Formats: sequence, structure tokens, C-alpha cells
Amino acid sequence: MNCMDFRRVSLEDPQGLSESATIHVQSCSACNVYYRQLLKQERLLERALNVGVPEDLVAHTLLRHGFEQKDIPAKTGNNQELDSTLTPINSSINSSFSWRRFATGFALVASIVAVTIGINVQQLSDPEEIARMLVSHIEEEAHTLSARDTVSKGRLTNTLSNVDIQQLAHLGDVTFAGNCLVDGKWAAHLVMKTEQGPVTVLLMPNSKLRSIDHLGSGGDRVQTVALRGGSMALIGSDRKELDLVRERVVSSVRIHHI
Amino acid sequence: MNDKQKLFNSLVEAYQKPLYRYGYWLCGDGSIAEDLVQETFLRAWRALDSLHNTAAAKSWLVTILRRENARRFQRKAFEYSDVPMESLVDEGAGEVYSAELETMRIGIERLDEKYREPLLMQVLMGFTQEEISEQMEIPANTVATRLRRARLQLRDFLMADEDVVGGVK
Ligand SMILES: [Zn+2]
Ligand SMILES: [Zn+2]
Repeated sequence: MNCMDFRRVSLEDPQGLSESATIHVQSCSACNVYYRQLLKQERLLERALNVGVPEDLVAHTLLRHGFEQKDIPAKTGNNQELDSTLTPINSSINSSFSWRRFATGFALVASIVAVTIGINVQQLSDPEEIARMLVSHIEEEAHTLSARDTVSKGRLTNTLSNVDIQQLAHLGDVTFAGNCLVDGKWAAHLVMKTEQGPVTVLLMPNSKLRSIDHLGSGGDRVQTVALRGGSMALIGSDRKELDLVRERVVSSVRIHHI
Repeated sequence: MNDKQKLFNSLVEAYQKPLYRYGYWLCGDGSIAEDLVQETFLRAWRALDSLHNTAAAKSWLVTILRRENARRFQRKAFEYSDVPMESLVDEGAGEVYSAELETMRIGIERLDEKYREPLLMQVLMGFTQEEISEQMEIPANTVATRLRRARLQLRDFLMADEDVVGGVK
């Protein structure tokens, strides 16, 4: 790759340099200076784009969703409160109604919804329960453990970017990558090949699991780690491999939008 | 909670922030962005059964949001440049005021939409160039060109600003 090509591709995607571009920038001092400047601009761009998001956006969105949802399914527990708050108002809404003014007037309702949502997401606290939940997730998706081929770079990038995780360095031999719901939350499900067998990595930017290190009855070791903005779980049979994979993942990915 | 509701809630939680920011930089107004996000999720709920591949959820939501935004234009013409500059300043983040950050924000706002949107997709949503190409229905090499030009324009804007600041006094 020559300098012209490097500048072209680095402008297209400063954070996604190919191998040949990386080699060039490491050996060419002019492009090195250029690239540093570009990265600085890119960080500024990211900061500028990440404007503050209204705190009640989730509550408003789910509240409005609740209003317009005609066939509210039978619900139990905490949702009861939500429904009884909503039902009488439901009929009085017509489509031309200004939602904004309405929402402001019902800030109280919104705050109830926010609390309800908080309660709905049951926090597992018992390490054994957390471990069981994670192990049963993997058992339900047993096919993920039998894949032998390394997944494509694009597939891995996609899986991670779907949950707003950016890969900064090589993660190792990933034999499965997909998005799924873990404990009701959107996650990236990866399986890494190690010498001691597969290690499952669940990256859950939207979950806050407490940290555990649990040895299950089936011989599976389950670890969870609290990350800045989310949690990560590792499941495998060998403790040393788990430690290695954990360190590598922690140092190779970055979670966006926190 | 049934599975559909669970999936919906997790989508709202996972994507409300990037979608809000996307909408914000698309229309230049926080309250319109908020409406856009809400409309997007309402439509997403109605069509949720058609989402067979959950890995495609993000692209799918962006498609809905962009369509919503286009609809808004049909309803009422809205000029991005009419938005007073103040409204683009993020009051809520509590971040220390930074002149260069402010300049960058103005720079982004001044980018032509055809340059701004691919940049939003790449930086805010983490789309690959192929995904941007599909989403915007333009060839991949056009996406690459626009991303380059967007960054060069921002760089020129930042440098011009530095010159002004340095040259006056
Ligand atoms: Zn060079
Ligand atoms: Zn899974």
C-alpha cells in the first residue's frame, strides 16, 4: 500500500484499518502523523455526535407504546399497576393529539412506568441462580458449541456492532457469533476456540449482572464480570482458559453509547 | 411478559440512544428526534413479527426511522438550516464547554445531508460500508467517497476555525 492509498482508506474508516494499512502506517512516518491527526479528529467527531439523550426517553417510548397497543396481553405482577393506570386514558387519545404536551402532563405516569420497568427486570442476585440462567441459555443453544470453523471478520463485527460494541483488536479464534436475548436483554453470544475446549462469551451491554465465579455441578465454570456499562459472562470448563479469554476480551472491545 | 414484549423492550433499551442521536443529527432538533424515536418504535412494534433475523434489528430500525423522517418532510417542509445554532448545543450532558467540540458540532451540522448521513451510520450506528450502501441504496464506492469527503470537510472546517481564532488576536 502506498501513501495515497493509505490516506484514502483511513479517511473512509479511520477505526477499521486493514492489515496492509496498519503495516503501512507503522512504517511510514508521514502517514503516521497524518493518521494520528485523523484519529484525534475522529474522537472529537464521536464526542460531538454523542449528544445527551433525554433520560425519560425509554419511559415515554414504552408508555406511548402501551397506549397505542390495542391488544394488551394478560399480564401479571407489576404490569397490573401499569395497565390500570393506562386503561381509562386510552380511549381519549386520538391520532392528532399532540403527544408532547400530553407526555409532559403525565410526567407522573411516566415515572411510574420507569419504576415498573425497573422492577420488571428482575435482578438475579444469587450466584447459583445467575450461573443456572447462563448455563441453561447455552444448553438451549447447544449448536453454538459444535461449530469448528472460524467465523468471518464481517460476521463478528456485525454481531458486536449490533449491541454497540466495537472491536479494537483481534479476539482470537471465534467459532460462533450471533445476537440473542440473554435474560431478556439483547446480547452478543460468542464462542472461542481454546486448547481446553470451547469458551462461551456473552457480552451484555444492557445487563447489570453482579460479578460471580461459580463452579457448577456439571463441571462448568461460570464467571461474570461487570464492565463499564454492562456485563460479560464466560462459561467453560478450564479456569485458566477462562482467565485468558476474559483478559483478551476486556482489552479488545469497547462498548459505545454509555 | 411475553417474548414479543421482551424483545421489544430490549430493542428499545438497546437502541434508543443511538437512534435518538441519529434522529437528532438528521433533523437538528431534540424534541423532533424524540418524536422520531417514539414513532420508530411504535411502527417497529406493529411490524415486529416480520423481524425474522434479530441480527438485522439495527438496520431495520434505522430504515424505519429514516422513513419516518421522510414522512415528516412530506407533512411539513423543514429546513435544517432554520434551526438556531443554540438548539444544537447539548445542554443536558453537563460536559465542560469545549470550543473545538462546539466547532465540530457546527461542522457536522453544516455538512450536506448526503455526506452527513453515511457518517452517522458509520460512527453512531457502527454500520459497515456495505450496510450503508444497502441502507442508502447507493453503490459502495459512492459510500466510500462520501465518507472521505465528509471527514475532509470537517477537517477543513476545524482548520479554518483555528485560523480565524489565531488570526484575530
Ligand atoms: Zn505513507
Ligand atoms: Zn445465545
